[in-house]
Amino acid sequence: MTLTSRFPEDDDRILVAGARDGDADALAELVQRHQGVLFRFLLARTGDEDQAADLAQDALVKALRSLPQFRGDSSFRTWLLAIARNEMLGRHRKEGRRKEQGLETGMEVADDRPAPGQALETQGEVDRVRRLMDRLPEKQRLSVWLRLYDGLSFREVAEATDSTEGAARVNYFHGIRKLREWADESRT
Amino acid sequence: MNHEREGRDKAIGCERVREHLPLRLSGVHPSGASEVPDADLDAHLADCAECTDELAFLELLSASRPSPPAHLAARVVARALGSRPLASGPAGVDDPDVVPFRASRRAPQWSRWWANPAAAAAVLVLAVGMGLVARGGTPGQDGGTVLAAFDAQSAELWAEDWLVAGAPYLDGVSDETLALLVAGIDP
Repeated sequence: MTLTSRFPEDDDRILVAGARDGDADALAELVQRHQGVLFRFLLARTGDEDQAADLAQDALVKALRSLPQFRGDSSFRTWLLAIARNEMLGRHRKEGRRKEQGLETGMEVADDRPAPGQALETQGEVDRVRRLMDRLPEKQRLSVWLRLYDGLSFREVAEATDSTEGAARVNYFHGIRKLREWADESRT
Repeated sequence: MNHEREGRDKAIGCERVREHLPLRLSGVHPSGASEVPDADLDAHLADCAECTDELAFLELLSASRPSPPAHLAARVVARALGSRPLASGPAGVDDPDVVPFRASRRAPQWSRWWANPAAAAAVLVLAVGMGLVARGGTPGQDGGTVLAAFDAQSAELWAEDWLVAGAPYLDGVSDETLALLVAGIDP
């Protein structure tokens, strides 16, 4: 479903202002627009779809509630990713404490489940590529995902991964190069 | 010397092009001065087999892009609207807990009906209908009378208790947003 008719495609400022003033359509459009990148960012970091969806839900709600504090120094997307990263670190800290206390954490280990909704004829190839992606070191994987899947600038990638713009660029290119090498190896 | 220069220019060109290929695939159009315009990208691709090959590989990678669960947006919007009233709504509705995506941690659905406007509306219709029967609706009553009584009673309910079905929160909300909220109802 697209809700873009009322709002310009590449500008979140109108949406943010509208949502801040209580416009439910603007709020819904903001969520629609950014849920994908947020979910993928968290999936790349946690490796678990359920956990990524839970964290994305919490981060989005927290961001929407905190809209009055959003000053617009960065893009809404960058701000949202920073909230998601804090949310994830906070959850990990809590889980760590629970582990130390010997309690069941409920966190699951990452698995190799295929992405839902892919065309059947390409599913095998897509699965193979996803498994290769999982082999990348986290920062390379994040740089490739954020740049390739969501078109983030290297500056945004750097902010989301807590690195420099140069490092984000290098991580992206190294990640792509490794993926190509692995893909070639697996074909031969 | 010229060959060297040509090779170096081509290498720089390829690197810049490859840096921008993901933007092409994710539908982001270049706008900044440091970005490669679409026309330049196309011209380079028409001439460079290596970059065309790179684009094909990136397309394959892009096909593996994971999507968020279908109900994520609906749940976020429902929670946000439930806790942040619109201009016409009263403040102070409690924020529902997270509805976890992990099936084993899911709260019982019956306990959350009120958090979902569409589900609440369905319950309201059912409750009002039952009230009409209890208050003297007879088997012989015609449909028009029943509907008129239903309208009157439901209007009273909406006016008296804003919490019922979250009515004021949905004032002025577009059909698309309502559809998004309805999409959040678990089958």
